[in-house]
Amino acid sequence: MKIDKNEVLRYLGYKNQQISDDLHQKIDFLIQNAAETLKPKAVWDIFQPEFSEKVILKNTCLQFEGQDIFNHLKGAKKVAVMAVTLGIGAERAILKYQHTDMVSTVISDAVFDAFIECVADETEQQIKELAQKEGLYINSRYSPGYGDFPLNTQKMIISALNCEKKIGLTVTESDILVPRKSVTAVIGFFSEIQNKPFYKCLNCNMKDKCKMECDKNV
Amino acid sequence: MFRDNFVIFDGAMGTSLQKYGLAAGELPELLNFSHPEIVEKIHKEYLDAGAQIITANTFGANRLKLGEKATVESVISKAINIARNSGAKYVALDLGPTGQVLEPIGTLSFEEAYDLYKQQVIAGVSAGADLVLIETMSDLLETKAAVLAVKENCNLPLVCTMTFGEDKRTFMGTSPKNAAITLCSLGVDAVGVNCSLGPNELLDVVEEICKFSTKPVIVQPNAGLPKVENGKTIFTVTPNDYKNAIEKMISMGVSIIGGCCGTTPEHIKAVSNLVAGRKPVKRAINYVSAITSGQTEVILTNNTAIIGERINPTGKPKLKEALKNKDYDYIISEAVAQQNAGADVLDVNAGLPDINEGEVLKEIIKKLQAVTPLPLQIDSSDEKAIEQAVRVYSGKPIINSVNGKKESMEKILPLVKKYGAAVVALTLDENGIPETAEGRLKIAQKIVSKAEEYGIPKTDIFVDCLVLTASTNQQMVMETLRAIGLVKQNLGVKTVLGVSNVSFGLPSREILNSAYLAAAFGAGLDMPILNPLSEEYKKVVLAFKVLNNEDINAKKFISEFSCLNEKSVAVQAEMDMKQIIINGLKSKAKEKTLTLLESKTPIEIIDTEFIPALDIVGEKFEKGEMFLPQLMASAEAVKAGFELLKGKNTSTSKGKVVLATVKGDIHDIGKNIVKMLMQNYGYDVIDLGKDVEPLKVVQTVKETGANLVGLSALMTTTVKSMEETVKELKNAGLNCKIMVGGAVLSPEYAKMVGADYYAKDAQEGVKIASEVYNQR
Repeated sequence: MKIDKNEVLRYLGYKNQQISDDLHQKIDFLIQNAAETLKPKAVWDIFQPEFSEKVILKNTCLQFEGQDIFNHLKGAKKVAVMAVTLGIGAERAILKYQHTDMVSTVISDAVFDAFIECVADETEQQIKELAQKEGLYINSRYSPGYGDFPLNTQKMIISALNCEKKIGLTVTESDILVPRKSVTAVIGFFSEIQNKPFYKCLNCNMKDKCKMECDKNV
Repeated sequence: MFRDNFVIFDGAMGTSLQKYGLAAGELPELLNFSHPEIVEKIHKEYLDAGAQIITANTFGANRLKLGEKATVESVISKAINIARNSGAKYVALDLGPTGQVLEPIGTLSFEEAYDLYKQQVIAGVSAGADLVLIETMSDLLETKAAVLAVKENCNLPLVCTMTFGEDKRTFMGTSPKNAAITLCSLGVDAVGVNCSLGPNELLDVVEEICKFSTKPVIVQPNAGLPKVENGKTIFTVTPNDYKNAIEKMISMGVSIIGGCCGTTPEHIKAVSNLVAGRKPVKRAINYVSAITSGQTEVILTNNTAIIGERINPTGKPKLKEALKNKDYDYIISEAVAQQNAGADVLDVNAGLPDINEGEVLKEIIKKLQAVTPLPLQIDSSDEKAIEQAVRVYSGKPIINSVNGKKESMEKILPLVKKYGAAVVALTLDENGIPETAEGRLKIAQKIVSKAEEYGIPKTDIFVDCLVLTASTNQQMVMETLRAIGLVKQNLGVKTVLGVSNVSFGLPSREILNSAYLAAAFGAGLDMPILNPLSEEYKKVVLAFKVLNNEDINAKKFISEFSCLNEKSVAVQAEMDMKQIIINGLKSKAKEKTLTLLESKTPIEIIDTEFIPALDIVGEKFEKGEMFLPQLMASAEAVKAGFELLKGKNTSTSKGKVVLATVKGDIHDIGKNIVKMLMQNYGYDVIDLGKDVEPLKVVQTVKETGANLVGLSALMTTTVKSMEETVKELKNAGLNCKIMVGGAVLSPEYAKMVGADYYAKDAQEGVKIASEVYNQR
């Protein structure tokens, strides 16, 4: 899995400033180190949706509230639920750097964000392949916290996928995933090709504050 | 119960319940109420298949997981009754992980984890459980909380398993040998592995556990790795394949067998038939001298291990100040520096007269074990402080120290036993330090046999033959080395020695120290306690590891010394402080600060050098001419310079600021950026960390009299606790301003929670601080 340095820089708010050799080296080192030492893990499963006033996945505890996720999944034949994590190593690295080196802290934070997105992309790809085998098309992945999809869905996803046992992922009372560099998401399977574009940033509740280069203005 | 016979446990409960329609994500424990007949039926099938112990359906029955749905007591008593009704002779109370990651990475404290388990144990005992099974664990510290909760609240036999992945580690990084060493020392009755992988993938793990366990070994594998076919999860290892793999484990010495995810009564039946009429293979029990952390183990066979001595306030004013101010950053940076310099173990001493040593030591241990993988040596003369610290330590620590005095042995050895530690044994007693090697051997002998009375194996005793300084006791220096030889030869124990004592009161101490270290290694010393940052020591250690056949092919030695000559220092044009800070050059900032100190006071340096440069940096960051890592590099440069201004006996403080990431939130990078910048600008920051209780903020503001509080929250879910903290501060009638920041906040939101200021970033925070402190 390759962590894209440009993505790392984007997360760091980079806008063509002059970067010294030292800083380049540091970023490269931290990217390489993350790729070599972290052990990302993924788990996912496919469920049958039922649409009433909310989306219910059959034979699970999963019930998705909110208009946005309803619209996102409306008409889906099946629903994939996924969870990915970089594991405890990412937490430990940040904790250590925070006490000794803030430059490495902020870079690592961005490296891990880029990395976990890669892991999520790869899992999404596997899900896509499965859908294709069944002659179905997937839409984009949608996570708790986007739009009005409630954050407290995290708890349900963590237990429905048995994340604690399978990938060592837990969720706190305040709906924070621990290890933090983790993503959960929901993907719909449809019988028609899904070409409605999806702009992650446009759907993000932070879009007005975010300083990163992104697609929110599309 | 486990010693001489095979014992058969049952197989999977969770995956069996799913066959009967348990929905994904539903709490299996609630089926004890809704479908007791199904739970009982599963138990019965395992009993019929030959299981001797039935595991009650209580795996996740803690109050965090159950929430409002049922009480812990009702679930556990119901589950044990169902198991009993199935006809089981022996019923195990089942304890799984809490479901939360312990602090500081998660939010659950060790003490809370202990309380969760304690409640389950008490409920299990009163419901009549015959034994306790702690299983599927991945965090050694959480496991320890469970083990202590069991051992302190009942006398039932205790079986404990952890779960390992394909990398042969738990999710939290514990190896099988570490689990075996640490848990056996803690006094469980059987140790092993469950869940994880299929039985064939587990062979290496089981072999390692068998090699290091001093207790019977249990295995409960999955029926292979789960595969998803047609939307259904299936396990592929047949009962026959399962049996064949278990046979291999039996030959390694495994004597307790069950099954985990995907196993069925047929699997248990196959295993039960396999062992019928047989006795377990006699396993060679090897006691080894070993210490562990949650992530690593140091096993002493013919190798040496370096114990870093720097976390000890004696003669270190900076560390003293750090301990008093609870400035854990300084202590952690000492730990990381020693680790990078090659230490294998870190000694931790917080012995200062005017602090609560036990509380501080405990806090340091909690923080250190999260950032360094090195095992720790807990160093105190106060047995209460030792207990507070070893209790929350994740692995098998060294306690420093016990001595030959009756009182010391009676106080310390029970702690060594209870917490499964190793211990440094000083060869001194009521009559002081004997002059001769024979006299010291005698004391070592006394401690070893006393320890054996407590059930502590001599492999866990590290004898310190004590060296006095050559400046006052020159004739006794070599006697210590003779004692090391005698002790090792006669008692077969490992030895430890605080080497640096030898040079006390003499000049050029490093020369004496390194000569003595080399001689001590020659005499057989296993674990020197020393300053790993000393170059002289480092040379001796690296050289000895080659000579002692530890550094195989001299790999480390060569990498360390072959490139020495290439390190040349590039000559650069003279820069002024401004340029140095803007370019974020840490070591240059130090040099320049030292030069400036010749002509300026610390406060002048801050006001005329640091702050103007930081203002430029802030402006460049604002305009997008610099980005975040560059801002941080500049801040690090100022911080490095600032360190040199401390301890100059002049106050540099512009005012006090209390910072905290609010209760429930653990995202603290932003807060730490604010902290660093504030400190750079000369503010005295009291950092309460993350997940901070509202009342702790109030109390700290009261104690410190700070005029400014900064609160951060990153999640919509935790803004509530921010609001609560603000409310508590206002209710307490404190005369302080409150600024808030964090991803989800906005000026409007800040107003809504009742804050005085909204800081969109760290730079803004500094502006607010100067506004608050200039108004006064």
